[in-house]
Amino acid sequence: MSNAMVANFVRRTGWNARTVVPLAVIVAMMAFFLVVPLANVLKLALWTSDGPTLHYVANALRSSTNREGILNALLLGIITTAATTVLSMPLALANVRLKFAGKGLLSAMLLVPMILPPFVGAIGMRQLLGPQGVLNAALAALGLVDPAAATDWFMEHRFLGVVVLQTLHLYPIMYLNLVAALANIDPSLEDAARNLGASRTTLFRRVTFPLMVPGYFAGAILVFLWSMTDLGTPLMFEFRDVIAVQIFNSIYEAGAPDPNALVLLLLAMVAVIYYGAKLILGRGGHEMMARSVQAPAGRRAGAAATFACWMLFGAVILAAAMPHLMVILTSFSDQWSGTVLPPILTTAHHREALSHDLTLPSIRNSFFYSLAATGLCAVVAIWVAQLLVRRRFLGRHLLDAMVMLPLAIPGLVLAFGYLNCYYGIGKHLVDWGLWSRNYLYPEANPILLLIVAYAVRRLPYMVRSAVAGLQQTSRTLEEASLNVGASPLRTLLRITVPLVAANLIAGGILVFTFSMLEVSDSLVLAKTREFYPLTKAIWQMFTDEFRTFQYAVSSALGVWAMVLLAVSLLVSSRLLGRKMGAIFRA
Amino acid sequence: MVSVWKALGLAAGLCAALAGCGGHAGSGGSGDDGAAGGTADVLVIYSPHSPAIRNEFGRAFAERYLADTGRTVDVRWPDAGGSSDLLRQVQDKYAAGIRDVDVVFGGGAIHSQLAALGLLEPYRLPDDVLAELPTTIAGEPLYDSEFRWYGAAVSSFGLIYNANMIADRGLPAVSQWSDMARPEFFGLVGVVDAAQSGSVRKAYDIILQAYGYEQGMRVLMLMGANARTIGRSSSDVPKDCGQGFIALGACIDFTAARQLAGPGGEQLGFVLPEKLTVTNTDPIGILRGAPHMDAAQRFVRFVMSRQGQMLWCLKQGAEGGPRDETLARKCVVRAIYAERRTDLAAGIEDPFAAPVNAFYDQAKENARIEILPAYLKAMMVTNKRLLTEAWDAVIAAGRPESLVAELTAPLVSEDEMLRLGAEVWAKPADASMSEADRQKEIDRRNRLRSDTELSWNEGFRSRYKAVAAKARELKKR
Repeated sequence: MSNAMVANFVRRTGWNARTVVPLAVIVAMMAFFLVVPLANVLKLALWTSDGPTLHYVANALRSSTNREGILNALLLGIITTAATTVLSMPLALANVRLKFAGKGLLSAMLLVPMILPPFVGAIGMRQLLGPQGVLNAALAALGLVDPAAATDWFMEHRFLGVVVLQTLHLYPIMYLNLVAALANIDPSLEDAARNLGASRTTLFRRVTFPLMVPGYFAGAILVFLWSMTDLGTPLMFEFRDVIAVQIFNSIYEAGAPDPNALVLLLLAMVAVIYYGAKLILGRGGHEMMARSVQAPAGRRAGAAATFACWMLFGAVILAAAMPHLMVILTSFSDQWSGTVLPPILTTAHHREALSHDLTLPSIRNSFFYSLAATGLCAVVAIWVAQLLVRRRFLGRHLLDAMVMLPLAIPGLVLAFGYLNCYYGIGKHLVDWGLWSRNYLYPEANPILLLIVAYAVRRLPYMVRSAVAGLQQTSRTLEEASLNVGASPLRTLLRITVPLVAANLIAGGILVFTFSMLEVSDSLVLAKTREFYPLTKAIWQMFTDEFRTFQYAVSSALGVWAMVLLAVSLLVSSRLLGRKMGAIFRA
Repeated sequence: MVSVWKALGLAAGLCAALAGCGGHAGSGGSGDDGAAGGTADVLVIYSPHSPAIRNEFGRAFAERYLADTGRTVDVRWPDAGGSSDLLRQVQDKYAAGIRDVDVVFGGGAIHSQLAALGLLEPYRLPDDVLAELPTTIAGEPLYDSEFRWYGAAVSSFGLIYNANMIADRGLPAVSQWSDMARPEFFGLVGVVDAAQSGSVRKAYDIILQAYGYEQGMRVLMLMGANARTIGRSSSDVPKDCGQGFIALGACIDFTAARQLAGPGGEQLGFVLPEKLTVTNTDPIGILRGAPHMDAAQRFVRFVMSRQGQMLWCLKQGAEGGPRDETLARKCVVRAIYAERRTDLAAGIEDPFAAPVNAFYDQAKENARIEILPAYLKAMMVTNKRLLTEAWDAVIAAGRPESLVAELTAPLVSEDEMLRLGAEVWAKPADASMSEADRQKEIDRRNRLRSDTELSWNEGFRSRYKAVAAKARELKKR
């Protein structure tokens, strides 16, 4: 191959050394840890001893129940995304543009929905909305309902219930991305618009929102896809006519690979939506040259505006925190049925939970797994964002799709995929003396796979945040650094990363929190007690039938999980706040 | 920016500190691949039993092992999920060629499936242990004729009900399975998906056999129509009942007993339907090719011996009984009931003295062990919403018999179901087939199975819609 041919090839595909090396590493990692287990699941739907087949996919599409499930999932995604937009936009604007008393605390508390622990959170909801729950008790006390004919609120208006709960649970994703996006906007552009006489709505519509688009896209696509593939909330309301629940109901059964075909359909749907949304919203955004010379601290709000902010933030926080309140109250009560507040309060369950031999090790394990996963995510995401935003090369869209893929895969599918998939490879490494135990086989030691699973699963959040950040930042800053002789690595570390720090922290908050509360991988991969993460410890207490107050004790552990996460969120929220007000340093 | 790097540095340091302290970094997990452990022997058990049961049996067995062999044994219990997860995981392991689990202990009624798949190792107990075991329980075998599994404990299915709810709403008293099908209990019944729980599947099969296929299917369908929700685990039913979400549901005796003994239990009741006892044996079996065969055999021997059996049914602290917790399960050594009557846990009686199911046909149950859950799933799980709406409309129209018959008529006859079960659902049994031919046959059956399930799904769906429409029309007139 002559030099000219090579140069031509490089020019046309964009595969120069600086691109190919990180690209190859990332693709290899994603292929190994994502594509391989997924392929094992999908190949059963597409391949038989007679060769490739579409029989199962065709049957999946012929089923009216499945079609209904797909439609409902789409509807759920659209409505929830719209609802979270309407909810988060004013909150984000108030946070970034206004200064008012208590803003720091209220802004941190907005993130409260993210810290609802699994299992006990559902119990909290049942305590609130069940026939003997708090809502009915309150209505009975007011004389509005007859306690004997109590309404089971989960059964009335299930779809609406799912939408409301999902909105209250997912708006932080939208909110964090919007806040980071707003923080990156060059205020001089808005000043210029105002100077030219633009009204507030025109300013928002023509200047602010277009500049925010990358951040909005990041938030919207995550909310949409999560809502569409969410399992927990529909299950809580017994709303089974969505594709995620339909897959969950049948994925364990040995037999015809119909559920595998459903997984394939879901993936296809996600791919179509993602590319469609990108076409409409996600193309490039507007790069801005400068942040500002002064920290954009926002203007001081008057009394009326402060009151309005308090009402708005307060209402959202209260609604979003109801399940948490229920969990807290359950943890302090023995028997709570049919009354608005528990009749007796006791600290016995907290003492029991904290003295349980699983508690401290599981907390330590979770912190370790989640921090490591967040770090791994951040490193990969920066690389991926650089490739996607700053380079043009053949296969760019495939890389984008690959890193978003984890969002589409139902949690348990990936978790089960990891169980036996790498056993052989790990065994070879042990036999060759490279490893003392098989770190690729969860029953021997799940640490590596747990960290990787958490990281892979949350990679889309970090990537979208990093991409949004880079899209809002001018490349001239990086080019200037390279021009004065800094190496690409130094430029990355000293220029790029600090510029997108707000976005990385926003993404990091999401990755860390969701990893701490992760369910599927934690349940399936952590098979022995010494490796249990926190969620599995909660699950253990939750399902221990020999424990008299199993709900109360597991709720108590859930409360401590919430406390830990609240502290972590407070710390990172402050970091994010400072980043947002950062002064641009030359 | 300095602060960002400080934060990252702090996080990295925290990570390192967490990794360093605490046992997990260097110490073992289960299933070491040839890496030298300590001097202890090892036994690996897959069991969905609760930690209390594992602790009692693990400890007592380790003591017995030491006494018999002079060596210690490390009994490991890696988490395997519930009974359907367990079955799936064992199958996946064997398919991947992984042999690191010795014993399956518990798991409801999965033993026949494990045996049919050839995953169990035959092990004949010594004569003196076998002599103490009855050969049958409630008309079914207590252990496999080829000694692949043994029933280690026995439990019965009954109906748990919320007496307060029933009184408050003026509902009829509960005593029979068919009560779950009564229109008065619309939206108030707890039902479990038979595909997710082997013991529940068995209960449904007994209902079919007791009432006859047609009437039995009617009971099952209307029970499903009355269900508030179709759950995954049979232990959800007593909890839902206790919390007032449902008024009644089928569940296992010991889960009901715990709910009744717990806070709020005084509002609950439990009844065993007369003449229709559904008995479950909780199995134990050695997996084929178990890596620690000697320890596995000793464990099975221990569990089935009088010493192990006493742990199930005696009170905590009684001689030979469990040390920390009363397990309150029914054992299978009859002599214990007679000889240790005063030390038995509350509510524990000799299950072998209960009336025998004269009608019970084990062969029939085995023949439809896979197809019945699939059929019931299409009938009342996948199309639950439409079924409930149809039944609601029929009730509102006064439940004319013709409409009810139309709604509840089975889509396939009993013979047809058994035929499909043998020809489509079951794995090919011909041992002379080559591996390639076998796989082809499995694929052919899978395709047929997919097509059949699709036709059931669409069949039930269109029927429910049609019946609902007719009922509404009737009501208008």
